[in-house]
Amino acid sequence: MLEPTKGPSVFIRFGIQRKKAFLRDVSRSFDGLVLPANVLLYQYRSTPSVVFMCNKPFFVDPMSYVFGQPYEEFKRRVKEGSPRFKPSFEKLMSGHGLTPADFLPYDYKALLRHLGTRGNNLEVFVENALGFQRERVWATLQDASDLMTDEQRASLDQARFRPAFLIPPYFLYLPPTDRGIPPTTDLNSRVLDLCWQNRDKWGDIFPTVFLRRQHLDAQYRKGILALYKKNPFPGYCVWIDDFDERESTEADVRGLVELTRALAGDGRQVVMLYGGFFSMLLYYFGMTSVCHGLAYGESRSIGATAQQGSGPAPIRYYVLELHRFLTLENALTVLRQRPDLLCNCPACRRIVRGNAERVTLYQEEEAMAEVHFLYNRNQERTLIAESPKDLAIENLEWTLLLNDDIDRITKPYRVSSGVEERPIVDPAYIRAWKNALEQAVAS
Amino acid sequence: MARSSIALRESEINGLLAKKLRSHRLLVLQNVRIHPCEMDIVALDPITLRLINIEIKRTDWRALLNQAIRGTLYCHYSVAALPSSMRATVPVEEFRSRGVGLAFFEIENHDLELTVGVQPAMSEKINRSLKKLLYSRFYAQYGDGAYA
Repeated sequence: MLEPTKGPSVFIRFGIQRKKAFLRDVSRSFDGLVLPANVLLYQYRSTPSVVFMCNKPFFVDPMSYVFGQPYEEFKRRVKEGSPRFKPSFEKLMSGHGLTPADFLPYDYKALLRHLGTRGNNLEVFVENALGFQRERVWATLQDASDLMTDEQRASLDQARFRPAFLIPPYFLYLPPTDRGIPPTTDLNSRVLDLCWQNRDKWGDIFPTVFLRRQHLDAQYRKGILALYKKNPFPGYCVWIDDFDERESTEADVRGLVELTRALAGDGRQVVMLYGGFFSMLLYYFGMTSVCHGLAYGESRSIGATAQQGSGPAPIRYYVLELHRFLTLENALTVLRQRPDLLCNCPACRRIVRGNAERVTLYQEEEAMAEVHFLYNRNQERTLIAESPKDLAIENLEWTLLLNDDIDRITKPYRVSSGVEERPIVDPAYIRAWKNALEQAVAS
Repeated sequence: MARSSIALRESEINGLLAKKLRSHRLLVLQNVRIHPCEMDIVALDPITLRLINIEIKRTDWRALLNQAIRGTLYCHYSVAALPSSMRATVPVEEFRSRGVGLAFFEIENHDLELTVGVQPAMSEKINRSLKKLLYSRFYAQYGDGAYA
């Protein structure tokens, strides 16, 4: 279970090894770490040290959903010679107790059939997924204890280096159709039953409710809750596929609020696997924790994992007042016309110095851009922790009022008929969240 | 058999254009990546220290205009380059009204010929930090030669 905090807790999703020292240095600004299984299993010697360095609670995302989607992209990314899976994907498969070579000639449907067939295939899959989550960090740190100082060795406390909870392997939830229950939904159900039967062995288990935004609608919610709340697990993780808080509609937000409320009933903990400020506002409806990367990853689509990478996330500027990131170019255009949106955090005092033109200097100051973001995220968290929900909604109303003309700041966008001037920031998302939260409070 | 000009890839056109610019004593950087975007060509006049961004496309003038407008944040002048076969179909005013220059190229005998469609206007949006970033890239490549 997660330790209770004042306001929603913030977990940082670890992705890049070179960020370990930075995370250690700023560890006061977040509450815990999420270790994606592909990173943990592939870079299995170096990844656990981030937990040791930050001295924070953590949990492991098993990332098993990639086995329930076409994974041909992982086969292509290999050097010449006999075809293989990408090494990190191979490690992820092996970690789940699957033999990569067995599945190389086939597509994901064969893998799902393998898991779904009688016998103990699914049991082995679940046991392995839970096993590496629980053991990997602790085992690696123990192996590395020879390299530690006496003081460090004495600090090796098992409770600190085991995950706060385990996540059963999960796949995208799809509602039943005329043709029956989709295989991924069926597997989800069976996995949860297995986990519940073995809860004494594994301890706290948080199933992941992973669904598409259109399934947030009330007509699907009953089926989703029937599946995930069949057994009273102590907490849940939530991931809405490709749910960008800045693109969501009022109906989406209402659906998410109701889902959160239902999952959090009876004091259950709820963790949003990908979210930002607006997901933190769901704290008032039972959201315990929100996870995101260092200045990226506040939403994620299921297809993103298999996409060809295009390098690290670009450096962006977080605008506290708008609760969103802007590319440095867009930030420059907006802040030139709205210098009142400039931030006064220690990073901005050093880099921007109250001059909108200098915001682009962050291009060469990645760490400072991240410090700026973490500082502002902390401000947002404090705001939520110290405000009742009525005040938080009123704050949104003020944000809307003070920025209702921000859509007058435009830039040319390419359209089919040519190039058109369009707003860089459309404040509709703030209105959608405010209205939806107001309705949720009233209901 | 000789290849027709239409068969040239953008990267090949980029190479020919860069060669042409260098022959006019400009310093040239190709494919300047400032994550997550990339500028096809950035030229620097070492005497006036003026920066010129040139974006190249073979057909999609909308995307080209979009990229060239972006270039006005980084450079004093931004120019879009299209094949001369598109001269009749490109809405020149879209470029002129945004201060973006327009040039048409033609490949003849492995040489690139340029004609001016629209003269670029001096950028009013250029940002000092981004400009300095480009100067530092030139300095990294050309050393003191970047400043005549």
